[in-house]
Amino acid sequence: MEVSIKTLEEAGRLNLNHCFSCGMCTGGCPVARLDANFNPRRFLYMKKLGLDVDGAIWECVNCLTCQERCPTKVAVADFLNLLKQESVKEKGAPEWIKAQLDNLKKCGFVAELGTERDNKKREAAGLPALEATEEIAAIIAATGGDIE
Amino acid sequence: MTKKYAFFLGCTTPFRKTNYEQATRTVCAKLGIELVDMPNGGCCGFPLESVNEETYLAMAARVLAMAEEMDLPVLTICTGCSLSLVRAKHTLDNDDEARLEINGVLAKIGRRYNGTVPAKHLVRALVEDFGVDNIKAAVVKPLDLKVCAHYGCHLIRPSDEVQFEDPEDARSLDDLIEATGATSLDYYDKYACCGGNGIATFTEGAYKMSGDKLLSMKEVGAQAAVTACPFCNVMFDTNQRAIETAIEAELAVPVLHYPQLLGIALGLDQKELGIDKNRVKVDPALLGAGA
Ligand code: SF4
Ligand code: SF4
Ligand code: SF4
Repeated sequence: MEVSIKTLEEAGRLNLNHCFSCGMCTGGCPVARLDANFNPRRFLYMKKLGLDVDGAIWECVNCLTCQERCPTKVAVADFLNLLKQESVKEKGAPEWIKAQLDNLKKCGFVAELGTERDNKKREAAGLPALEATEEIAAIIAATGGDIE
Repeated sequence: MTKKYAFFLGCTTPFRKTNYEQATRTVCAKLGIELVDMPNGGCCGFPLESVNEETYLAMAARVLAMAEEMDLPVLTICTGCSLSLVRAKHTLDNDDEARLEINGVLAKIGRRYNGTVPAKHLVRALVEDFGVDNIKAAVVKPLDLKVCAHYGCHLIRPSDEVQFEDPEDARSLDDLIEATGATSLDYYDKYACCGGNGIATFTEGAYKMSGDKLLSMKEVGAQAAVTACPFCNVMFDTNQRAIETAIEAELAVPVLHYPQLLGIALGLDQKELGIDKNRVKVDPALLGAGA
């Protein structure tokens, strides 16, 4: 299973070529409303032209409004997500994702079991204890999800 | 009527929103909905969706496989977890190659995905499995309260995969709110995002998104906001002070997890619903019984 913008486009899952540049995606995007440099339609064309879509993609809040509203069913948000995956492969992951990944490898949760936020607090609230799992670390290792 | 679920907590709720978990457990017990714990449930994979497709899919498939072993549908209370599981199921059930490969990964931890159980968010489970009318029938203290519903993007979008309701005209949470006797007010940009996912990368923007929504709620006279996702609740409740600073406006909008609102109407104790842990203080009189 090789997942990339290229393979998914070929499999008919992104429909990037259906775009007729209407701008609905950008028009409804809550991030574009606040940052003029953030423009999903432009990211799409930059990628088609082989230009580097820079760090701005990480501002995307993954609300899926663009994808929902595209009249020709371009998977705009999925495309942006794949751009993030490409960026991680080429430039490494942002620090906050690395911190989450560390915790996931340690205990299977994105937060760290063993801090004041964990089981002691849960016990006080009458909630059952959480158990760490090594299965997530095994999955990360087996799928190449470990990034430096 | 399904009344028993594998209760998947995810990561945000059990560490940061124990009041949401408390309220959910208390309300479900009262309604006779049985929740079977998954103490080593771990993470749904959502945070790694932007890192590696296969890692994300395998993590989500693991949760579904665990529920299959329990022979129960999954219940989530986080919209992120629910979309993560729903999307993974959609992919794995429609793509033989992906399922084969992900099962190769799961074999290493002694599990297997067969696609035999669904995953549902609490809101959807209450509407589809329990029934709004049955909730109405269970209410003993109808609420005299005006509130605004915040759906959470991932409960309703992308509609072609979620297949739940019209994301521009969703009613599920409004119907559940009105079943308690409270009025669910319409407001500007009702179905918009809280910005939560941008908190690390676009902090000021995220605060602005939440702030705009809370201001719109205030404008129409809401006495509280109602959420159905721990992270939306972190944004609106935990971060409300920071939002007020960022947008230079006073908000003071109490924020209730939906099962907290329902719990009050079911006559349950506020402490058992974790309302004492809400960051923006909720005036106890506000939640007093209505006429
Ligand atoms: S909404 Fe769809 S068709 Fe319109 S510009 Fe965006 S991607 Fe292209
Ligand atoms: S998913 Fe990202 S690009 Fe699309 S509308 Fe939301 S914030 Fe904008
Ligand atoms: S945090 Fe924001 S993006 Fe995530 S589910 Fe809630 S509303 Fe949607």
